[in-house]
Amino acid sequence: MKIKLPNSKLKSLLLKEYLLLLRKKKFLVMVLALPIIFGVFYQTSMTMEPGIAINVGVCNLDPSEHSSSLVSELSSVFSVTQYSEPCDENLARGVRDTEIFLGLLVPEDFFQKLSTLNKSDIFIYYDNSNPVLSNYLDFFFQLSIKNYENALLRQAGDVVKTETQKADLIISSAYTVLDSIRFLGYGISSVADQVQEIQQALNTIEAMDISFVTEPVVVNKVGAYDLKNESGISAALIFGILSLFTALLLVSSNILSDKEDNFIIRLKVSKTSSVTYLLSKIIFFDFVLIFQYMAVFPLFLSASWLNVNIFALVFSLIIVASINVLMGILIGLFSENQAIAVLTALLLTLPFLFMSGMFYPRELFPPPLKFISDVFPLSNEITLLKQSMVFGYDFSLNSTMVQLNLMYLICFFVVAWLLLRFKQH
Amino acid sequence: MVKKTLTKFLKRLKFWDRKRIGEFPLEVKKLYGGPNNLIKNVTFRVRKRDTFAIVGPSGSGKTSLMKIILGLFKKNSGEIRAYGKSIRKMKNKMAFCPQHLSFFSELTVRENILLFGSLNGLSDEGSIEKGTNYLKELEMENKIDDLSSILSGGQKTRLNIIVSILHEPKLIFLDEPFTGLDYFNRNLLWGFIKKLQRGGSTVILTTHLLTEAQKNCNRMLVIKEGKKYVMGDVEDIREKVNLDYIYEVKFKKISKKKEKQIERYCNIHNIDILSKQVDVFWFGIDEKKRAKLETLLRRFEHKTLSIREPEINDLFLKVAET
Repeated sequence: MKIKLPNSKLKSLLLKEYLLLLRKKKFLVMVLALPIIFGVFYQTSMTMEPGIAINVGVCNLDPSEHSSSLVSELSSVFSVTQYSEPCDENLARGVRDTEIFLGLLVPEDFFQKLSTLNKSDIFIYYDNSNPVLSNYLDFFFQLSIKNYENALLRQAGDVVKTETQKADLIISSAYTVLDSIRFLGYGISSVADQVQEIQQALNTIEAMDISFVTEPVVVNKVGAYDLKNESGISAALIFGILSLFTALLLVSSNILSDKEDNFIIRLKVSKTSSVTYLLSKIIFFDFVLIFQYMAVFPLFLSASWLNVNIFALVFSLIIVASINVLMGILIGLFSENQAIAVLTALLLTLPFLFMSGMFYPRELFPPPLKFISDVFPLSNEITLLKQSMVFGYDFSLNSTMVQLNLMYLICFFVVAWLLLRFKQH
Repeated sequence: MVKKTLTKFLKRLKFWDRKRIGEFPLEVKKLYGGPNNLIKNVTFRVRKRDTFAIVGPSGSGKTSLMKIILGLFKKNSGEIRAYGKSIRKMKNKMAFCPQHLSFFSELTVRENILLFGSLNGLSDEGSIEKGTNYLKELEMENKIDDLSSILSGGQKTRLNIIVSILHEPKLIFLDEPFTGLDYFNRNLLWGFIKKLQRGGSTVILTTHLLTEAQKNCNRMLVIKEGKKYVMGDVEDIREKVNLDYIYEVKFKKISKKKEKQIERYCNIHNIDILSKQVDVFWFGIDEKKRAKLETLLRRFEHKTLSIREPEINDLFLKVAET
């Protein structure tokens, strides 16, 4: 069967799409920029090595050589700093003060346990408020002690082999001695000694912890922070991202519809000020975003939420929601149509997510990227949310994070006001 | 020469006489601006209770001029005063109705009235009271609880105007308020505008409907390529365009060659061909060129369909053609 395509009509329709795309410069730029930016960030986040040296603090209480070889093994991957006693206190402080990313405590009986073929514990102090960073470092740490563990296992194998050979040898001698007794009635005490030796060799093998073979060194993770509400970590991340996504798409299209309906023109010639208009948008969409968040809130509900300051929590939610709403307003005012608004929102969201440390810990970014990340709003929004949701901070205008986020709020508000006031609509 | 300059200077001085400031609802002086600097050196003044039309060919800058006055487009230079004050300070006495519908079709007529009334500082009761009165005047009182989306085209245009003027402004700007309206709706709207004018409001509107504007407006500002072409009533425009007669002539056996010969003759003798439709030509002339035109007509076989005084549309053709 021959299928006839409507050539000229199809051609005309395709040409129309092409010409429309070509004439909308912003749209064209967005269409081209979107895959480039997405590709670069995806590739970078998949393959990125730490951009800075990872500082690890070590407090070694075991005087043996074995523990020193563990530390030297770590030095090949991390930048190691020695910490003194009291270890737990100093290492946790080091993590909190961001002097080190990880703290390693090697206990006194570390080698003693290993020498008896038993699992031995080490303790790492980590930032338990930052799952992305801690997971990444955990992976690196496990990787770095792998060689050490392999060496331990080889040594353990040697011990087992030596002890078994020894037992085998002694059993052979014991048979010889038994033959002598049978025919000559000679050397009873010597037999007793040799059997005892066999028993000792077998005891060593018996005392061996079987799980030692799979995990000779047990890494115990100790959180550096005393978190008031651990479920707040995921809650802070989800609100930051959810409100950003929703605000950029929802608010920008709302502003565009106001523009298309000539409402902004009416507003500009009416007695109502641009400030009132912006405030109405912020209040309404803050409510929408917080309401939306409340809908998913039961997922994180636990008794630990009672430990946080509700006033500080609500205030941080309002500040973060308002910043995101204002970014949506800016996109709406900047864009000429819905397509450009949606593309701009998408174009901003991925870098925002990447820079906020969602995929890769921003603490390990190379310095220039770290600077950009520090400037990007989402990173600071999440930090502010964590302060109230996870650490249970009280709200204080003296807090740097509150000041920084309020600064974003004010800056975006002023730019939105200027655009509304002076841009020709 | 000196006398002329002096007169011009005194006229200007009088225009911006401080004592008279506040007397005029709108004064525009040497205005430049708009998209691509479209508006150039426009000066005019609107009197109290005027129904003032801004007319001009498409793309001449009517809407841009209105938007610059309202502060929606940037002005590069010039002065704009409403009742002697900056436009910004007179927002509560002004209203603007955009050409395109600019209310929310998802809301009912009542909800739109409440919203736009509140934007202009009216209480809910005040908005509903004013809105109901206007709806009655525009024969829409039974539509108050209808969704705006289900109104007819004419009703939507009427609602568009109502929501703009709920706060009883003294100075009303209407951008192409009659676009797409049938005769009934246009008539209704002109009647409403007259009532507003009688109520003490000054209405400034842009329109393409020249005959209706001539009939219903006191004065007109003709804009051409962003510049003021002429301002006043029809007589002022006629004087400016220098048009006394319109000859409507049907040529027999017209050919391209003949057409070119006619055009060449008209070019040489400054006779305006205001319009032509196949073999029918509309010539616009002043008294002095009458003989020249008759010479032309003697050369070609023709039938003179009419000789009349120019109407506003003819004057406008001349403006567009010049």
